[in-house]
Amino acid sequence: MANVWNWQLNRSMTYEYAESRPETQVSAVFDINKCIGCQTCTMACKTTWTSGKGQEYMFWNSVETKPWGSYPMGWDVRILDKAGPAAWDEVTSPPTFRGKTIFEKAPEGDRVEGWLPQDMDWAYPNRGEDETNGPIDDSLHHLAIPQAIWNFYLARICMHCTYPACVAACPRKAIYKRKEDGIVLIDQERCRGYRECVRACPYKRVMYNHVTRVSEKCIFCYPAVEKGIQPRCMRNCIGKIRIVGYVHPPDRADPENPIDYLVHTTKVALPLYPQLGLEPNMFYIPPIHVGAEFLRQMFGPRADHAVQVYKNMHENPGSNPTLRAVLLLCVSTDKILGKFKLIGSEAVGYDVNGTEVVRVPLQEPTYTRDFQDPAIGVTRHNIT
Amino acid sequence: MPIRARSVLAAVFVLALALTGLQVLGLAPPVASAGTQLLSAGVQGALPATDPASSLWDDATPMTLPLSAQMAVLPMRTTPSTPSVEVRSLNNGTHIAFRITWADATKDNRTTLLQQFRDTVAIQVGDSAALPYLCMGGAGVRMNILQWKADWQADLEEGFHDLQDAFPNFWVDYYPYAIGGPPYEVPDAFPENASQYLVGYTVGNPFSQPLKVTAVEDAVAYGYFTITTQEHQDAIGRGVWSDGVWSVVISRRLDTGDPQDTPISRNNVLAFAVWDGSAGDRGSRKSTTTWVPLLVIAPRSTEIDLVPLIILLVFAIPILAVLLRARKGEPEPPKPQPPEGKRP
Repeated sequence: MANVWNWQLNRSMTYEYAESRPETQVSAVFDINKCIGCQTCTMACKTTWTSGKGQEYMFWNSVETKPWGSYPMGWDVRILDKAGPAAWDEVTSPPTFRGKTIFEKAPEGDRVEGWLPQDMDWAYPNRGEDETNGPIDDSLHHLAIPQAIWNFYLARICMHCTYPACVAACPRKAIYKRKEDGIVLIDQERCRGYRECVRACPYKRVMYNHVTRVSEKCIFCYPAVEKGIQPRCMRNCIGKIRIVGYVHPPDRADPENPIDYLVHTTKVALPLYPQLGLEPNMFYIPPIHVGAEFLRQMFGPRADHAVQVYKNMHENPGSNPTLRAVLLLCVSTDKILGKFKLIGSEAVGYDVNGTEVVRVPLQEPTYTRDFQDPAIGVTRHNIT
Repeated sequence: MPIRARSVLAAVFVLALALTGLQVLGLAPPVASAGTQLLSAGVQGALPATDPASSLWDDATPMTLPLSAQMAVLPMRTTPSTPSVEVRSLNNGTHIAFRITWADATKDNRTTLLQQFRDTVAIQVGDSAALPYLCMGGAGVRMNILQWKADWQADLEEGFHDLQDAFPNFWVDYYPYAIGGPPYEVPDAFPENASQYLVGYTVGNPFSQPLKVTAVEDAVAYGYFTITTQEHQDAIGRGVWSDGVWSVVISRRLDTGDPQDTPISRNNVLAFAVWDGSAGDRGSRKSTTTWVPLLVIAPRSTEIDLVPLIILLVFAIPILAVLLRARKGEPEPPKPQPPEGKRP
C-alpha cells in the first residue's frame, strides 16, 4: 500500500499503488440543472459500444432519477451504508475528510470495501423514474427553492478516477489508467473475469459480459478523444449539460481551462461522493432546487457554496459573465476544449492546440417576425 | 550362535542387489515412501486420461492433502473453502494423469451470470532443483499450471452456454451485422464485423472463446497474478460431480516438448489448488496445498533395460569375488583332537 494525495479529501490516503498522475486527465462537468432526463446520451453510448450479445443490460452511460432511481439497484445507498457517515472537517479550507475511504475501510482479505451486484440488480436501468422525493399534496411546493418536493436527473459514466477502485482491486493488473489522458481501460485480452473490479467500483461502472465472460466498462470514447473529439454521450447531449475537457490538480489549475474554472476557480462543479476516496474526474453542478442535506451527502460540504454561486449567476445575469460564458460553451462544439475566453459579449472556445473552434454570444439575438407574411402568403406559428 | 559381521554384510548386499534388480524391472519403487510423497504408479498402456471412474485408479496410492486458505496476497480467503483433496497419479512412461477428488456440495459449472463462479482445480508443476514460492512462482521463475475449469468442460460437453440458455425468456430483434435470426447463436451468427461487438472473443481471450478445445488450461506464470494461457495447449482432463464430490482427472505427456511446460520426471514438486465457485472463489481467493514431492514410478516393462543391469553386474561381480576370496583365505577352525589314549 502507498500513501497518495487526494485533493478532494484535502489529505493523504492509502491506495494500492503509488501516486502516478497522468500527463493529462480527461474530465467533464455535468450541469444537473439543465438535464431533462431524455437518455439521448444513454442511447448514443448504447448504440456505439454496447449493442453486442452479452451486453444487453449494459449502459456505460445511464441517467437515473434521484433520489430513488439507481443503476444498478441501490448502488449508492449500498456503498454509503458500508462506508458509513462522511465526516468532514469544515474548519479547514478546503474541508478535510476525517472519515475512512473505501480503501482504508477494506475488510480483512480485501483490497477495497465493496459489494458484488447480482444480475437482477442491473435489471431496472431507471426504476423510480420521474418519482419525486416525497408524496405530493395540495401545497404549492414549487414556489420556493429548495423545493419541498423535488427530483433530478443524474447522468453517469465512468469517473476515470485518479485512484480507481477497479485498478486497485484487479489482481491481474488487467485494468490500467492511460498515462497520456487518464482514461481507465480493461485489457480485454488479459481479463479473466474475476469480477473483482465489478465488486470494487463504488459507482458500479464496470460490467460483466454474459457472453465473453470478461468485464467491460466505459472507454470515454478514446478513439474520438485521441482526435480531439468529445465522447458520444457528451456531443449528443440534447440538454447541452456537459462540457468536456481536461482537469488539473488545484495547484496546477488554469483559470482559462473551462473544467479548471468550474472545478477550482468558481468551485461550482463538485465530485460525486468524494468521501469514497477515488478522486473521480467527472464533476457535477448540483441542482439548485434540491434539499441542501441531500446535496451535501452527494457532493460533499461544498454543495451549499456551489448552489449559491449558480443561483447568483441565474438571478443576476450580469454578475458573473465568465461563468455564463463557460456554461454556454457546453456542447456548443464537438471538439474538446482546452481553453476559453470571454471576448466582449462572446464566449470563445479553443481546442487543446489553442485553435478557436467555437464562438457563442452570451445573449442570443432575437428576431421578431410578423404573423402574416404577405410576400409569400403564410401565417406563422412562431414569430421569434 | 554369534552372528558374524561378514554374514550381515553379505545379507545386506544380496538384499540391495535384489531390490535394485526389482527396481530395474519396474517391480519396486526407487525409494520407500512414508506418505510424504505422491507416488505416480506405473501402468502399461493407455491411461484413464479423462475417466475419473476407471478401475485403474485403484492401482494408484491415494494421498490426502490438507488445504489452506490463500492468505499470502490480497484479495484472499480467510478460511479454506475446501478442507482437503485426495490425489492419485498414474503414468505409463510417456504420459501422466492425476485424479483429484474433493467434497463440494454444489456443482458450479456456469459463469454466464454475473454472480456465477466456476469450480476449479489446478496443479502447479515445479522443479525441486529450484523450488519456487508456492503461489505462481516468482520473478524470473517459471511455473507451469494446469487448471481444470468446470464451465469450460460444460461448454465442451453441452455446447456453449449462450445467453438464451441462461435467460430462457430472452429475446432480441437485432445485433449489428449478425446473420440469421434470434436468438443469434454464438459464434455462428457473429462472423466478421458482427464479432467486433464480442470484444473478448475477437481479441482472442481464451475465456471468451465459445468453442473450447480443452477443459484444462495449460498456463504459465512468473509470480503472483501473472498466470497466462500458453499458446500451445498440452493438457486434457475431465471431471465428474456426483453426490457432493468432484472427481477430476488432469493429464498430459511427462515431457510435452513445449519449452513453456515444466517436464515431469524425477525431481518434480506439485501443489494443488481448489476454487469453490459457490463460495465466491476466483483468482487468488482459493484454497491451496503446500508443495508435494512427486515420485514417478516407471511402469513394469516386458523389455528389460540392460544398461542398469550391466552397470550393476560390473560393480557386483568384483565385490562378490572379493568376498569369496576373503572366505577362501580364512584359516580353517582347528579340528577337534581325539581324547588321549584313543590315538590309533
